[in-house]
Amino acid sequence: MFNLRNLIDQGFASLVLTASFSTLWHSISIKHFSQLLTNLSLNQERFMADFEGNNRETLEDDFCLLEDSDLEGDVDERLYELPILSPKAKAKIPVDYNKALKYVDRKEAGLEDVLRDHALHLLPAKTLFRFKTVSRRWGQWISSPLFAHRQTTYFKNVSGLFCQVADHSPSFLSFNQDAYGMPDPSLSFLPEPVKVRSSCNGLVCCQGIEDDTYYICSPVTKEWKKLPRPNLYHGAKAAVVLAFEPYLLNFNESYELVCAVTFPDYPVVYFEIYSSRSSSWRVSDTICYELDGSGLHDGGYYMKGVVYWEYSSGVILAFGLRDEQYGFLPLPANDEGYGNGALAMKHDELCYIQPRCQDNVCTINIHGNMDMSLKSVINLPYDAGSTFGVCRALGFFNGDILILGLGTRVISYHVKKQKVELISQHEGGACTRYIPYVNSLVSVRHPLIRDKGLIV
Amino acid sequence: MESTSKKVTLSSSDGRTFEVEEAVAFQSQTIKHLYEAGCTGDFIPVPNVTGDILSMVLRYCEKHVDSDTAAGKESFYVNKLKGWDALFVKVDQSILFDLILAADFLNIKSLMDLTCKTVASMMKGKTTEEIRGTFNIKNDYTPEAEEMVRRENQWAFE
Repeated sequence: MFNLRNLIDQGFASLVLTASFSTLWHSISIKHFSQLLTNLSLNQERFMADFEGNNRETLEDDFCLLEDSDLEGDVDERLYELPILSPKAKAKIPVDYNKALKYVDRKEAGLEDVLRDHALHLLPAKTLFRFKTVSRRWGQWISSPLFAHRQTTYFKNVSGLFCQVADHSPSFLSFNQDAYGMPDPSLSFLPEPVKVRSSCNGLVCCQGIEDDTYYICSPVTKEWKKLPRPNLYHGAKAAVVLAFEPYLLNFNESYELVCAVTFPDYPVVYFEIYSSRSSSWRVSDTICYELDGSGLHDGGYYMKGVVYWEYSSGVILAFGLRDEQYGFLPLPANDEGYGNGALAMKHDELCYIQPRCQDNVCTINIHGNMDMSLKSVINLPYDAGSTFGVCRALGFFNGDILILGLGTRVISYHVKKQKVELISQHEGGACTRYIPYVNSLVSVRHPLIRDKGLIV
Repeated sequence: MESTSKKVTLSSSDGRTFEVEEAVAFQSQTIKHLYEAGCTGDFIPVPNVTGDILSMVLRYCEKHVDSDTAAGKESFYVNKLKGWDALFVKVDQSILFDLILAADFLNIKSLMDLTCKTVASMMKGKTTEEIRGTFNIKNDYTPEAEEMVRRENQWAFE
């Protein structure tokens, strides 16, 4: 059963207190403290203490220290004895200070609670599933839907890449085997073989091989949802992009799927949008007449409310989800033409990463600003060797990691450490599709709905 | 330091005192609220933070005192501060844990975020046993129950 009581047990109170309304505690503390100072009724103190949760409960004792009787008498003398940040000076210890000494011992017990409330949701899903065995309390907390939601909101590190060649089953290239992973990377829990199309903050959009049916799934929880047929024909190579921004206060994870729909022999681009709120597809009134389907790359990029698609003809088509307007950015060219670069986010701004390999030396050009001008160049300290095939940028993640495909190899470059690591010897290839994935606990269903319907 | 700025004196668990500017001390919401609630005596006690840790916390607060101002938000300063932060948390595990507890008690959000991120990146590759040992967590599972949870989530151990 899943009722309100369980919800509270599973830490809803602390979730709301510590994260959603962080200011609430402060205002309570002020009241709490001043009330204590004026010796208000015990009941109220108890209520406040309960409300603040275990960690805060002990605060009322601290205030024994602040009673006037403790501080009276030696105010003036002491003020002059206090040098700045001096370790030598000793203040006279108030009588009730001994009471406070027990908080030094609070340390061991407190750390577990503090970690549970403030650090666990910063961990990736694979680590968390392992930590279910740490203790019963950790197991319960990690399994709770509210924790899953919280982790989804906070954990946004790209954890690896889904790799797929043509219609073969997908595999997952983890950036750290101990931390990032899922029970079934081939996604065989879905009702049919699929192509991975797009992923955003833990949700993955796939398309069935048989008849292009769209699925939204969470590879960690193995939950999935089949989407209705779109109004327009998207085809097997749909330029579809998933947009999912988890919010702490929105428990109903809502996402949008945007497809740039093109037609043969008809120079126009339509935008069709699926919204999880309405559970339906809608063709936007905005129509782009400047472009057609030729040269449109099937993979797109989503960032901060805008979807971007690359065109081999040398433009980037941008479509804003909020205002449903479109625009163009120039796509930087290199000697080999367009196409082996990647759109990414750097310093919170859109950039285009373009690799170039010549004479075993790899350089990465990073373009940015509205005109996609060259902003910086990275010389890779890596001997690319002579046997490589195509050099592709696969993305720039977490503000630090650049991923490149060099022939059959996939390598990462840590910009801050200036270190190259080989991620895989065999997963690379010109025909492989790579979809960056965030290892979150996101649920495809509403977290408050269990199998048998809404109970809360 | 300007002589006109107001000073606040804090006293650690081991009785050491620290005089800092209001703006520095008030990055701790706990101290700010204590002060606003009328704790304006000659010093504010911080009963569960030792002098060593408190001096580290105050050094952090001094460094971050301008981070909310327009000048402090310029990317040059942000990057510089990030570098400083990274060095600041390069400390022994036990000191890091003390910093977390101090940040939690003193309610300094940015320090909490920094220390928790650090500890999370330490934790992510660890095994169950390592976590229990590091954080002194009691295993209250029966062997059978633990084995069951482990089997259910076998993929996460591979």
